[in-house]
Amino acid sequence: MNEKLRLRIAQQGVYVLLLGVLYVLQTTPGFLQVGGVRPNLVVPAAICIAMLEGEFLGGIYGALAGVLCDLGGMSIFGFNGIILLAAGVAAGLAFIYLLRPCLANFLLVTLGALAARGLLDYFFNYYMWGYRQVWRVLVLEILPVVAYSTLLAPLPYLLCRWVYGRFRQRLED
Amino acid sequence: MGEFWKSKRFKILLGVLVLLLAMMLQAAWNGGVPPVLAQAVGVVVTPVQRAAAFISDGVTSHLRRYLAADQLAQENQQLHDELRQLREQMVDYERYKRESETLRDYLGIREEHEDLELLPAAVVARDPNSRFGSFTIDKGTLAGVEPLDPVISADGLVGLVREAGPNYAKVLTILDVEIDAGAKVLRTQELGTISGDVELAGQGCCKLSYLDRESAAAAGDLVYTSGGALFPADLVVGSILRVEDEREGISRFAVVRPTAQIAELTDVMVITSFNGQGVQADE
Repeated sequence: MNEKLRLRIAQQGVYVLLLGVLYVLQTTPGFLQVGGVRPNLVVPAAICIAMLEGEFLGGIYGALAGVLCDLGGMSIFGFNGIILLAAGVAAGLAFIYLLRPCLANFLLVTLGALAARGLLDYFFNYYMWGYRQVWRVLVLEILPVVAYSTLLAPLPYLLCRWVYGRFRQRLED
Repeated sequence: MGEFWKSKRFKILLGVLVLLLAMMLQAAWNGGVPPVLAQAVGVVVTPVQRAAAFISDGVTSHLRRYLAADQLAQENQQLHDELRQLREQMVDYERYKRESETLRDYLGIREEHEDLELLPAAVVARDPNSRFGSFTIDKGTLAGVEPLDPVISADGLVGLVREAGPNYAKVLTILDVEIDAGAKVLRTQELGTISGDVELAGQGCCKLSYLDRESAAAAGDLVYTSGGALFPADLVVGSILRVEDEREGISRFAVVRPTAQIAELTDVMVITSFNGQGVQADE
């Protein structure tokens, strides 16, 4: 196995570890919680990886981020995995063909991915079942998480960029 | 972009999508049993979550002393005032003692049911995407936890196990719209159903439905489980805040505030076995 391949595998290992750490942070009771709202950190991380590495790895890490969301959440397993796989691929393609990779565009795409996930979650797990006053779940629970997660998205962005930068330097060397 | 759709990478992504779909179908078919991938990830992640929750609890407890200084000073003053009032009422000590014993009976500070098998567990994760206060505990099937096992705290009923992996389990609380539990008002012995409600969950409350139109239930009444296949009888659920008419006007419902502090739970007990668990009543 040559050095370049070893470095690429190590880079993917660091990405996986990073997603795991972010997942533990986002589910730790009381941590980063403001007014009962906790941020979703794995989705911005997956979107950042999609921005830096392209659509294929974006899809893979999107699926992983979704699996982690399914692990801690109450929706059926695979629900978030499928949505975020598609979001990762879409984000990767968007950054290749449409958008310049920068913080502002990253925040925009992250907001879109979180909002899409949240809206689909609301539709399939709440709206469809006809609960009374179900709009409260969207307005008081889902949208605050989307907003707070986007606000904190620069944290996973900086971490992913740092990992990408370190390995790119070593790969070019 | 056209090349991507024809490439090997796209086919791999399609394969991942099909795998996720298959796992989703398996999860739907099995009910409370998570797919193997979820169990594997849970086995790895749960110990780390337990450590993170432990650290977070420690830091929060330490900081609370400083961040809540004003609140503590206020509480201290209130306690001084209460103490003065109690001293002034010493002549009613015997009456207070008798009332206290009666209240203890109603408040469910009682001996544990002999038929309950309890397993202590710690809350290790609360997902940001979860509504209604659901959380993950650090015990699973290896410790004897099964889906639909009731979960309680020292203060009262919390909910039930929705899904159980080898070393973790997800708990659905009584604030969740999916929960339905038979319950009774202790004072009037009226039967009803405890369930979650989207509007009430935002206030930290749940709903006791199907009370008769002439119901005598009132604010302050205590609500207990009535027993059945899902929950053992006589577990304290909460106290009634108010009683209202249903929209249709046929029955009434009560808004119940759970005695368990669901949003702040750090430790719970799982009832892994009780008399009548899983046995449906004859119609």
